[in-house]
Amino acid sequence: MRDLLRILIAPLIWLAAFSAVYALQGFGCAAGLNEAIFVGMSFLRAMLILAWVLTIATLVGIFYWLERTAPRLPWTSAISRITACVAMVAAIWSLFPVTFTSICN
Amino acid sequence: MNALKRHRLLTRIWASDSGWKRCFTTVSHTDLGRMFLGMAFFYFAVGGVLAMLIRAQLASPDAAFMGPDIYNQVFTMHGTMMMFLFAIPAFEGLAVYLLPKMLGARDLAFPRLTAYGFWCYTFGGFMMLTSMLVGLAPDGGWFMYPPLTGPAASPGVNTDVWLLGVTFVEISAICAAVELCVSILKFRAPGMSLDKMPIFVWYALVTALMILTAFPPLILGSILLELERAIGLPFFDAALGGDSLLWQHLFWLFGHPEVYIIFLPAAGLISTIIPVMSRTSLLGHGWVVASVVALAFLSFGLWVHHMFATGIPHMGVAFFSAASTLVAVPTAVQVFAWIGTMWHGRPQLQMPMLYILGFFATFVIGGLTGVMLAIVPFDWQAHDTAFVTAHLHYVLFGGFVFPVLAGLYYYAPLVTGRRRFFRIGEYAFGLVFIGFHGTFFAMHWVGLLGQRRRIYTYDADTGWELINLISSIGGFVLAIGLAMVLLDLALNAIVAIRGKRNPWRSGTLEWSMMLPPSAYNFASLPRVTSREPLADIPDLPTRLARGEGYLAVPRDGRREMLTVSTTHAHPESLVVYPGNTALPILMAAVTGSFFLSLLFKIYWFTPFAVLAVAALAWRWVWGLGSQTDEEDQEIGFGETVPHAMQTDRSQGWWGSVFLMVADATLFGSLIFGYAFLWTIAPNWPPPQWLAFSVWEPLIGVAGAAVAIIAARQTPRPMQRRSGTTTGMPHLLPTWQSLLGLSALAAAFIGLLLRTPLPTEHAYGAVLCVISAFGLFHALLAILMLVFLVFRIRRGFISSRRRSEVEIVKLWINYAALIGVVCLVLILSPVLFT
Repeated sequence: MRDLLRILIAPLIWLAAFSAVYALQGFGCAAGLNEAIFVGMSFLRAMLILAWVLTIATLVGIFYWLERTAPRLPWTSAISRITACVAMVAAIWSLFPVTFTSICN
Repeated sequence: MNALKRHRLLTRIWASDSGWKRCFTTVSHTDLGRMFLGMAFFYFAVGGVLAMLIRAQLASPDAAFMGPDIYNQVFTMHGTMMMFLFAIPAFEGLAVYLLPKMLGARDLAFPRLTAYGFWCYTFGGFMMLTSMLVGLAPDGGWFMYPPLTGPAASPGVNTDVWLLGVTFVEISAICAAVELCVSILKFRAPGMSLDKMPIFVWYALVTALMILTAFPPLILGSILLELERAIGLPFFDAALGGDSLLWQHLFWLFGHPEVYIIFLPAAGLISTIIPVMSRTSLLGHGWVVASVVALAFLSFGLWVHHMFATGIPHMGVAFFSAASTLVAVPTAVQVFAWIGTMWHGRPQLQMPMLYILGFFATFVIGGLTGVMLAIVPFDWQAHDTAFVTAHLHYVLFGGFVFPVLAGLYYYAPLVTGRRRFFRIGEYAFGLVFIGFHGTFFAMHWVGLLGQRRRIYTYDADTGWELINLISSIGGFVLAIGLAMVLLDLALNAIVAIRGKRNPWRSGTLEWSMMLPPSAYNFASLPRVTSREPLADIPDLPTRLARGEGYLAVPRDGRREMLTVSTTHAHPESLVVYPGNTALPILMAAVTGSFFLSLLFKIYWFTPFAVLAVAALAWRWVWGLGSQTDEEDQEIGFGETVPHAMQTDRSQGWWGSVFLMVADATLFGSLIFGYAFLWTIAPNWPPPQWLAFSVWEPLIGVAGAAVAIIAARQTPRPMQRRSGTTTGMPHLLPTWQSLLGLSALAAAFIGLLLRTPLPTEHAYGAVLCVISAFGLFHALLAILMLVFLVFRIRRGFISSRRRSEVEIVKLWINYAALIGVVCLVLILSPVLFT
C-alpha cells in the first residue's frame, strides 16, 4: 500500500493545493482582501502567490523525498518520479495565473 | 486427485443454481458480469432509439414529429441512459467479468455485493424507463440545472425520477468501485506484484478510485435538490440564501471526471488489445501507468471549464483553462504509446483492430475540439451550441463505444467459447464509422453556424437545414451499423463453431482457462512470476488443471480464495465466500422501496424501508464467520495462512476503508457547499444564526472521545498468536463506546431541534443536513456495536476471530471523527460572527 501511496502522493498534493488556492481566491474576494495593499500589490494576490510558491516548494520536497527513499518495489520508483514531475508541472502551469490575471472580476 | 475429478468437485462447489433460480440467486462474477453487460447494452439500444427520435425531429425545419414536452424528455433520457445506464454499467460489467480472470482469482472480493449492485442498477434503470413509458420522464437535460429543475419551474414528478433514479443506480457504481479496489489490491494470484498486474487492471483500479471520489458530489447534489423539491430546503433558491451555481459545481465535480471514468476503462481495453494484435508488448508500460494516474488527478481539476459562461472571475477561469489544456498531455502519452506499440510490432487487421483504428480517428478529433473548448474565448462562442454536443460524442463514442466494440470482439471467444464464423462485422464497422462521422462532423458545423443544443426545432431560413438532414441520415446509418454489430455478435455466439483456447495468443491469465470459463475460473491458483505468465509458461492451463497451483484441493465444499499483500502479493489469508443467495435481490428491492416511497411521497413508509434495509444488512453479515477458531490452513507449495476472520485486516476492513473514501468525499462536498453558500451566495448572512450553547459541543465531543478511547481498549491482536483460544472479549469497552456514540447522537438531535427554520434560509437547511449527516454516522456505528455485542454473545468473536471487531472499531473512529467535524462546522458561525 505504501508503494501505491508513493505514486499518488504528489498528484494528491497538487489537487489539494489547486482546490485550496481556488478556495482562497473565493474567500479572499468575499472577505474584501483584494482591496488591501501589501508591498505594492493586493494583499490577496500576495497570499495567492505565497500559496503557489508553497505548493511548488512542497512538491519539490516530495520529489526529494521520493528520490532519497527506496520503495519496496523498485518499479514504483520510476512511476512515482513521473507522477511527481506531472504534479510539479501541473502546479506551475495551472496556478501561474495568480501572478497576472484580475482576481475578483 | 486427477484434473477431471477436481473439475467436477469445484464445479459442484462454485456453480450457480440451475434453472430459473439462477439469475436471482447467482453471486458468480461470470454470471453477473454478463448480466451487467446485457443490461447495459439493452439501455444502449433504448438510448439509441431515443437518439433516432431526436434525429428524426431535427431532420427538417419546423418539424411536428414531436412537441417540445416530449422532445425534452427524449433528449434528457437519451443522455441519462447513455451516461448512467450504459457507459458506467458497461465498465462495471467488463470489470466484474474480466478482473478475477485477469488477476488469477476465483471471484471478486464481495460476490453478494456485486449482485446487490447489479439489482440496484436494474431496478433503478427500470424505474426511469417506466417513467418514460408513462410520459413522466425527466425533462431538464441530463445535467438537471436548477432553477429549471427546482420546485417552481418543474413541479411535476419528472425531475424527482431523475434525482432518485440516478442516486439509486449510483449505489451500484459505488458498490462496484469498492469491490474492484479491494479485489485488485487484495485478491490477486500470489506473486502478482503491482508491477506484474495486467495493464487493464491498472486502468480499472484508477477508474474505481475515481468513481469513489467523483460520484459522491453528484449524490450529494441530488439529495440536496430532492430535499429542496420535497420539503422546501432552499439550497439552490437565490432568494433564500441558496445558489443555483452550487448545483453546477457539484454536478461538474462529478461530471468532468465522469468523462475520464468512461474513457479510462476503454483505454485499458486498447492498451490490452493493441500489443496482442501487434504481437509485441506495450511500449512504455510504466509511462502509461503514470499517465493514467496523472489523467485521473488532472480530471478533477477541470470541472469549472463547463462553467466558463457563468461569470466566474478571470482568475478562476484561467486556473481551469490552464488545467484543461494540460490534460491533453497524459492522454497524448497513451496515444503515442499505442502508436509506438503498433509501429514496434506486426499489427494484424482483425475485427478488434478495425474498431481501434476507428477509435484513433474519432477520439483524436474529439480531443482536439476539447482543447479548443478549453480556450475561454472559443468556449464563450461555442457554449451551449451543437458544437459542444458534437465534441462530447466524439469523445464518448470515439473514446468508449469504439474501444468497447473492439473489446467485445476481442473477448467474444472467451465469453462464448466460439470462433467467429459469420463476417457481418466488417460491413457493420464501415456503417458505424461512416454513420458516426456523418452525424457528428456535421453537428460541429451546424453548431459553429449558431444552432443551440436541445432546441426541438428551427426555422427554414437558418441555413441549417441541409446539415441537419445529413446529420440525421448519418444517425440512421450509424443505427443500422450498430444493429448489425449486435446481430453479428449474437449469431457468432449462438451458432458459430467451437473455438480453441487463447485464439489471439495473448500472455495474460484470462486466456489460460477453459472456454467458456468454468464457474471456478482456475482449478488451482497460479503462482505469477511475470506480467505475461501465459507467454512464459505455455502449458500453464494444463498445470493449473492438474492442481500445480495454490488451493488445488477443494475443502469441505467451501468456496475458497486467497488474499495477498498489496505490493508483492504474498499470500496473507484464506477467504471463504458465501454461497448462492437471493439476499442481494431482496435487499435491492427493499432499497428500491425506499426510493419509491420518496418518489411517490409516501413518507410514512420511508422509515419502514430504512428499518427493513438495516434488518437485511444485519442478516447479510450474520451469516458470515464461524463459531470456532481455525488453525492456519495449508494452501499449497508448503505454505499456510490464517483464515481471514482471524486477521486484523480482512476484506471487510478494506471494503470499509474504500467506502469511507467515498463517504468522506461526500462530506467534503458538503463542506464545500456550505462554504460556497456562505461566501458566494446572495442574501447572506441569514436572518438568524444558531444560538450558541455549550451543551451540544461538550456532550458531542466528550461522547466521541469516550467512543474512540473505549474502542481502543478491546484486546490487542497479539494475543491470538499464542495459539490458544482465550474466550470472548470483554464487553465493557463495547458498552462504553455505545454510551459515547449515544451521547454524540444526542448532541446532533439537540442541534436538529434548535436549528433555525430550515425552509426559511439555506443556512438553516445546511445546518440540518450537517446535523443529520453526523447523526446518521453515529447511529450507523451504534447499530454496528449492537451487532457486535450479539456476535460476541453468540460466540462468533474470540480473541483469534477478531476481524469484525477491527471493522467496527474503524467505523467507531470514523463516526466519531465525522461527528466532531460536524460539530465544528455547525458552531463555526458562532466563532466567526
